[in-house]
Order: sequence, then C-alpha cells, then structure tokens
Amino acid sequence: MTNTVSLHPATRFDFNSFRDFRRDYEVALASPTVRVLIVDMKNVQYIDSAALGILLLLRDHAVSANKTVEIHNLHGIAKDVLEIANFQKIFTIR
Amino acid sequence: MRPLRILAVDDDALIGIIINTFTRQLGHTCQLSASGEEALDLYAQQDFDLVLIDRMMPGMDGLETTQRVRALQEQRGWRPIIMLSGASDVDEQVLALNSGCDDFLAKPINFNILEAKINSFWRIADMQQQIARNHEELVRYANLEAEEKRISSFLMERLVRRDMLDNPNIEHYLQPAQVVSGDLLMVSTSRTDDLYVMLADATGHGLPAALSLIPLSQTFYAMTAKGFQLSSIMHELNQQHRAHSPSDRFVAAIAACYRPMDNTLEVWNGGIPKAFLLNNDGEILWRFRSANLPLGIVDHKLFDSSVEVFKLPDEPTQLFMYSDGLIEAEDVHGTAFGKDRLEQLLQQPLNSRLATLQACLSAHLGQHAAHDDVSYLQLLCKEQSNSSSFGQGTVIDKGSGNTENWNLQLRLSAQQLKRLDLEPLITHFCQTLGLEESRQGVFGLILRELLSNAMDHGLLGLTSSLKHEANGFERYFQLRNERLMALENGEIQLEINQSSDAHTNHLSISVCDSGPGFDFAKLEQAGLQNDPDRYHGRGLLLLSKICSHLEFRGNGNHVIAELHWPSEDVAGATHGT
Repeated sequence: MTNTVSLHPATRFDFNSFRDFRRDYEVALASPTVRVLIVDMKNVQYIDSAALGILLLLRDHAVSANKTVEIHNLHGIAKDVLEIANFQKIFTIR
Repeated sequence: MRPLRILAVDDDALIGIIINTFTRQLGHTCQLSASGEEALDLYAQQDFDLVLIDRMMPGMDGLETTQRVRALQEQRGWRPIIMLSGASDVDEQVLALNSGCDDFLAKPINFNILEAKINSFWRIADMQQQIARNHEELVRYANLEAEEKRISSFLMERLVRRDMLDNPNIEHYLQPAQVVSGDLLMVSTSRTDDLYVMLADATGHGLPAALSLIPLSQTFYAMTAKGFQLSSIMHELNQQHRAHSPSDRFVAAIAACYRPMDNTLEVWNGGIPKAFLLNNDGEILWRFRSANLPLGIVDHKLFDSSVEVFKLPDEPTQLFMYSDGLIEAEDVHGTAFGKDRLEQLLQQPLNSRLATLQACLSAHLGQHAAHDDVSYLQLLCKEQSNSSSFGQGTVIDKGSGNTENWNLQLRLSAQQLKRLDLEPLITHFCQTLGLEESRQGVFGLILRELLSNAMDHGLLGLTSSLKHEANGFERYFQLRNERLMALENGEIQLEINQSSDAHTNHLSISVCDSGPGFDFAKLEQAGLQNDPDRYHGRGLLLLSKICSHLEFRGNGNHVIAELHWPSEDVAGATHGT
C-alpha cells in the first residue's frame, strides 16, 4: 500500500536511538499521502521506558496530523514491556 | 579566524622592521623586541598567539629565550614558537627543536615560507581556541550536572519520607541505578488505620524523574491521610501528572490500600510487573497484573481508575510488589535476574523470604551495578479483630475539653453520590467546623460504614449475603460498580451534630437514604452479639461496639449513630494542685 510507511527502530530501542527514529517519522508525518505509520519491531531486542515515551510522542504527532500509528512484529522483551504498560489500549498492535 | 598577535624577537632592527611590515600586510599585529630579556617582559604582560625568535642574540640567546617563554606558557597555555636562524644545517635545526620551539625557519627569510608557516600555525591556534572553548563548555556542563544531581538527590530524599516507610508492616528495598533514582516508594496511613502503599517508576532518572514525581507524592500523601478511595487517588494522580509533565514522560505505578478492619486489599496496577499475594508459607494466592496504562498517558475520560478489590483470607498474607529493574538486573554475563527466578524465590516462608531474595540478588549482581533502579516492597496484611483497641480505646480515653457546637446537614442526590468520594470530603468539612480531634478517626470509620450501608444496601439494593458466596466479594464489587453507573434516582440525607454539656460531649451522625430499608426489629431481637455472622456485611457489629448508641428509625433506612465522651474536668485538669 502506498499510504503506509514502515519505521524500523534500532535493535536497542532507547533514548540514544531517538534522533534517527525521529528523523524517519518526521519524514513520514510530513508526507500528505501517508495515512498509517507502522512501527516495525522485528529487530528490536531491547526497549526502555524512554522508548515508550518516544512512541507516545509519535502518537501525539500522528493524531494531530490525522494519521494513525500501528505497532507490528512485537516479540520477546519488547512484547512483555508493552503488554505490562497496556499499550494495546492506545495503539493498534498486530 | 581573528588576526594573530605576533611577537618578533631579533637584535637586528632591520629584520625586525621587515617582519613587522610583512606580517601587518598579512593582516596581523606585530610587536618587536630587540632582546630575549625584553621579550620575556613583554610576554609576561601581554597575550600573543605566535612568537618568532632569532637564534643568535647577544645576552640571552634564542634557545634560552625559547625555554623561558615555554616556562611562562605553562601557566598561560601553549602558543607556537618559530625559531629563525642563519645556520641552516641539520644539527642546528635539531638543537632548535629540542630546545622547545615548534618550527624552524632558515635565514635569509623566505617570505613565502614564513607566510605558509604563519598560516599553518594560525589554523592550529584556531583549533586550540576551539578546544579550549569546548573544554570550558564541558566543565560548565559537568558542574551543572553535579548541581542537578545534588538537587534531585535532595528532592527524592524528601519525597521518600523515611518516617512513613519505617512502618512495622512494611519491608522495602530501593537501590538506585545512578545517584538519583526514578523509583519512588511511598507509604501512608489514614486516620482509620488503613495502610496505603505505592511504588512509582518514572521515565528516566535524575532531575526530570524527580520533578515528575513531586506532584504525585504530594497528592498521594495528602489524599491518603484523608482516607480517600484508592480509585479517587489514582484518578487524581493521573490528572496531576498530565498537568505537570510532557506527554512522553509517564509514571508506571502500583498502589494498594489495605483495610485491616475489613481485611480487604485494593490494588491498582498501571505498568508495573505483576504483584504477588502470598501467605506465610509462601504460597502464591493471587497475582495483581498490570491492567491499566501508566499514569499521565491518557486524559481523565479514558483513564481507568477502577481497582481490584480482594477479600483476604483469615490467615496472615503479604503483598509483594517490585519494579522491572529487579527482574532485568543483569549479572556480568548480561543474564537478567528473571521473573521466573523471582517467582520461585518468593515461594518460601515469610521469615526467610526477603533475606533469601536479597542474598540471591547480591550474588547475581556481584560487583556489577544494576542498569536500572531496583526496588521492591512487601506489605504485611494482618487482620484486626473488630473488638480491637481502636474501638475500645477511643471510647475509654480521657476527654479533651469542651467541644465546639455545630451542625451540618447535607442532602445528596444521585448525581453527587456517583461522582464524589464522600467520607474524606465530609470528614474534612467537619474538621474545619471543629470536629473534636480525638474523635476524628472513629468518626471517619462510622461515617464510612453508614454511608456505604446507605449506598450499597439502600440505594443500590445489594445484599451483603452475596459476599459470603464463593467469589462473592469480587461479584459484589462488580455489581456495585454497574448499579452505581446506572443510578439515576435516590438521595441520602446526612446530619451531623456536635455539642457538649457540663459533663459530656456528644457527636451524632444521622444518615437517611431513600431506599426501602430493612427489618431492623428482627435484628434487634436476634441480638447483635448472638448472631454476628448474619449481619457481618453491614458492619453493624463493628458499629455497635464503637458507638455509644446506635438506633434505627423509619423502615430501617434511617440510622443514627452517637458518640459520647466526658468533657474535661476543669478542676482535674489543673496540674499539680
């Protein structure tokens, strides 16, 4: 589909990977054709609370740009962390 | 790049003039000196960026001048020195470089080479300045950070309230990852001896984490002391956090309220790993999993503040809660402590449980510091029998002077009853009016029992016998929530009166609900003492023991509870006569 964009956070998804991730999502947010941003967690081996904060920021920006965020391919520790934080209540997780 | 300030040292005045003219044409400034001694005086007084020194001079020669300028530079910072010399052989160049100068230029001076060398050192000088500026900046940041750490340590220390954590029913451990932790443990006791605990894990560490925890801890201590419902507290904490922190900063938290009077435990968990309810033998009786989003993520419309209510068994139990730093703590090989190992360790008798956990954690970590904060807390739940010192003591104890007289009447309709957490609100109002301090605890308890009877049985039509069925307690609270949500009609009238005469102080609480009432005559016939179990759910046994007088009117939908206690004997109070 042309109106979705996949974002690929670093293997270690934490505050240090914020800049690269933000650069990618800002491009996607600026695009008028993009409707859905997919955060592909396939490669993520570690995630911390700062990264959860980054996802929340992304969600805020997406909502104000009238786009939605989906989280795909969750597994391992990242899956546990997002489940404990109950992020399925505010994100579409596939 | 700014122009260079050049110092040229040569006893030959002509060469000095030529260098001066040439360097000024390049846009730099130049100061001349005819001898090594004079050059040292100048260098001590002014700042230069580059020094040109003639090798052969009467008196102090170029080699010695170089060494002395270098000595001055030890305090003032390195600047390049170029030596000019008539002798151009290799030995002479080596000697010059060994004496400490940075470059060598043969005489007669080739001005193209001199210009190239000046430009080369110009770039180096610029880099040097940049490095010096960066260094200064780094020192400034390091100082700032040290200051921030000091302030956040101070803040966290204040937030923790160690006096509250030192509770005989609490065991805890908190190991911050850095100097300052993002984990906060809080304990508080209400006037009615309900015990509240909370473990909060803020995003990040240091000052940002400490700052985001300030409003939360203030709200927690204030509301728990007044005996607010746990769900009201969580609702307010979520609002507080949203009001004070940006959207990517949230706080994972678990909070619990243990009510020893009814031996119930309420738990709210948003973003903290499962907490365990254990008995003395180490059997896991229940897991309180995270059912909610952490604090500060969604607004009050989406925030779910409903709590899990758990009726505890008759045996003593313990609630164990911990932050994810404990199971994520890595040993030297990068292996996490793990939730399976924790769960296994917890399943042992109370008296050895935490000591074993601590020993295993220390062995696991070794010299290796944990990556994240490690904290845990164990709350000991021991039921207080209804005829405890609480009820007795407050009736027997000495009066505290003549009380103020006041009367409060309230009529609350369904809308307020759905929305408000009444007991702390009304208690606070009565305190302001002049509720006798020594009666505040027992007052809150009576008020809560009467209000919950009026609500649950009067307006919502719940039967307390439900609580005695298997899983009845959970079912009861579920039903209560559903009916409260749907409540549209009904009201509760409340009248509270405090007065005193010469010998006795009186406090009466009258609660009248618009429900159908109940057959209190039968209750009075049976006698409270003889059949306590039958009316357990209504808390009437407790009330009848605490109150000086308990009376039902109308259809049983109107109840009046009275407390009497002696006024202070004025003569007896006069000390030492």
